[in-house]
Amino acid sequence: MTRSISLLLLGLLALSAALLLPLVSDSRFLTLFLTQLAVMVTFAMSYNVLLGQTGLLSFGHAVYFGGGVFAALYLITAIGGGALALPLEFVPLGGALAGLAMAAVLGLVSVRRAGTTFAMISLGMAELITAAAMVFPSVFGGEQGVSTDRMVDVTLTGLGYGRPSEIYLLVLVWALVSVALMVFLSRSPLGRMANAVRDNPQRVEFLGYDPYWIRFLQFCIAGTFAGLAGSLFALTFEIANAEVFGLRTSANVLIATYLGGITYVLGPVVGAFVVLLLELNLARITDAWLFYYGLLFLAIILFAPRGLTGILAGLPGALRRHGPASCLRRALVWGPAVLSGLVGGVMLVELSYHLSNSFDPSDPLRLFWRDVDATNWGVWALALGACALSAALVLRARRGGRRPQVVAAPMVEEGS
Amino acid sequence: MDTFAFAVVNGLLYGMLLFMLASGLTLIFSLMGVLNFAHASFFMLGAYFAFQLSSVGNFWLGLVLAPLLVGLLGATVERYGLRVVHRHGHVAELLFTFGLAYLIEELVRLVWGRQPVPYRIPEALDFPLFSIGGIDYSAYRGFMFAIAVLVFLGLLALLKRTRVGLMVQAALSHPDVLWALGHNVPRLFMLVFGGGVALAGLAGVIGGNYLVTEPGMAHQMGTILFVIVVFGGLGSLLGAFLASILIGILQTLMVAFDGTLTDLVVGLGGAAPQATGPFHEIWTITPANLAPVLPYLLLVVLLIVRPRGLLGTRET
Repeated sequence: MTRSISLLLLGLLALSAALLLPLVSDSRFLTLFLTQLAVMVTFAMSYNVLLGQTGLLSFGHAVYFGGGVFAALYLITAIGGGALALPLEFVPLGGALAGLAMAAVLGLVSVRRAGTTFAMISLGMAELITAAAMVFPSVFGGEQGVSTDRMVDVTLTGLGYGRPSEIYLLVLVWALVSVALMVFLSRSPLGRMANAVRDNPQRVEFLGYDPYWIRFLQFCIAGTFAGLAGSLFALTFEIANAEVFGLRTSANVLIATYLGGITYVLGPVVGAFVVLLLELNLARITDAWLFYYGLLFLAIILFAPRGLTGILAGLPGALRRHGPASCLRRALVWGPAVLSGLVGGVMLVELSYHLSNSFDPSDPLRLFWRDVDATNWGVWALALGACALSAALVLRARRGGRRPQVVAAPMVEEGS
Repeated sequence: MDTFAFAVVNGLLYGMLLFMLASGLTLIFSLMGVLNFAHASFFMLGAYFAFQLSSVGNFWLGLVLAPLLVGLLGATVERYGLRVVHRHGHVAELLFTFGLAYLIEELVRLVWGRQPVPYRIPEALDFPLFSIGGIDYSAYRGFMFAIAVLVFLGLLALLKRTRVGLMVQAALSHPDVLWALGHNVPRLFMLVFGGGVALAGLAGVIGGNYLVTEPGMAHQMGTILFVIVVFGGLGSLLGAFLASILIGILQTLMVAFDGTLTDLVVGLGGAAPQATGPFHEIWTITPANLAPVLPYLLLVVLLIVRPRGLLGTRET
């Protein structure tokens, strides 16, 4: 017991050291990364209030995020212009209020049903808001968007918030407060009832609760924190256009949350971290990064529905159950298969991407630290060979390994 | 008047095209409980396959082969993807098709590039069929119309008159009984998924050159499609048909007419309102500007008034 507590303390200490690093270091990249991470974590956690806790799959969470973004942009401008005597530190409260207001209005219609209908309605709402926002450039700024300047005179702490590390501190504090609040709410009676509504709404009704109101309250909470995350985004970047409302933003948060693992309270934190890391690093290496991103998402849905956190959390148990020797053997059997498949697949993707999207296909392509010619048949043969090798290895591993037989689930369910 | 008639005919055609997608989507949903998010992506694949085949052979080759290829791909996706995630529940299935849509869009960008591809109307059908009031009606549109009507009648005959149709109908209400009677229900699911997706592919083949074949077409079509199936009532074929036609005609009509609130106010004898301040665009919006918003507005209004949709029987 004492050992786990000291481990926890050590982890917390390391975490806070990492989080406070930008205050002493000069790395702009690190500061920007951690600021974006704080925004993304808040947004993904708010999304998981819907998906993980209440079982509501939303394709329109960006609407509330966007509401917070624009509310904050206008608030900051108003403060800067002297029209409003609110310290800059409280701008996120305005964003949260905007998110709450939008969620309270749109939620009334959205949460009548869960499941597929809710998903479709959330998509319809998001499209409605996005299309409408495009129609009103006077408010949402059209293509160029709305911009503001966060260096205002009215602040609580006396910081100017001109430097990235200062705004990082503000974003970090708000993000930590939000995460703590959301964790607290997930353990409150409301959070528990939301889990019950997710698992069996009928039974909740029998107990005398109204699933509609529980969904509605959860929807409002999610909207509030999404709005808050949006205002943190506005504070960081000081500019946004109507596209923040769009499906791309919603899809991004959905994928991040699911990758991390929706059944864990802190799963979205892991997801946001991985997605941001991929986004910032992969996008610099390859143009096809969205493709890999989609592939990773599909793989997680198919093979690890509990997400990356689920894989990490499952590792110690698997080691204990099967013993290290068996685990090592399996890794040795499957490792080469997966690795050669990855190499071949990446080569194929990069080659075809280069062939169809580059200005001159015969330009050399940088692939695995070497320059190759995409119009040359040899490279393609090599890529296909790696794929074939992987397929052969997978077939062998499946025949040899003692894979537990997948029990065929009944294909048919009562309509739900 | 002529413009109006043309708008209605074009809207009807667009509606029929939408129904070719919506019918498959509805059948898949009522049978398997999966709302196939990637349905419009298969529509897009149909268009791209047809483009590729018509650049190698000709349009007719694409017309025959592309839907088959798309159908085959759909059946594979059902067999090795959807069936695997089925045990994790409906949310996982929906997420899977969502991820698939995402992946297909990126794949299309990967293979055919970001720009629209020059998928053209076949020359044999590139002549005016008839003209009213100086506006030509192209033969290709007539051809599309004929295909859409044929598909509609064929689907009706298949469902009502054949053994497979009988099984599909039985599976709609009592799949477990059908299974207990010794029919291969999973295979039926695979066939229906493949078939529905092939229909979407066919719509892509004939619609891709009528609209524009580009990577964004799936997203554009997809969201409208979901409006249609929710609007018509999830799982109702007739509802999907009515909603397709209604939205097809409405969207085309709105693009065909112009006029603003300012015109209305001035027409009623008022002074033209000032075009400044936030939301001032409301005075100068034309119906054409509003056309993209309209389906979603209709959807939201309908959901407030009648949550089950036009002809839906259950509030899923």
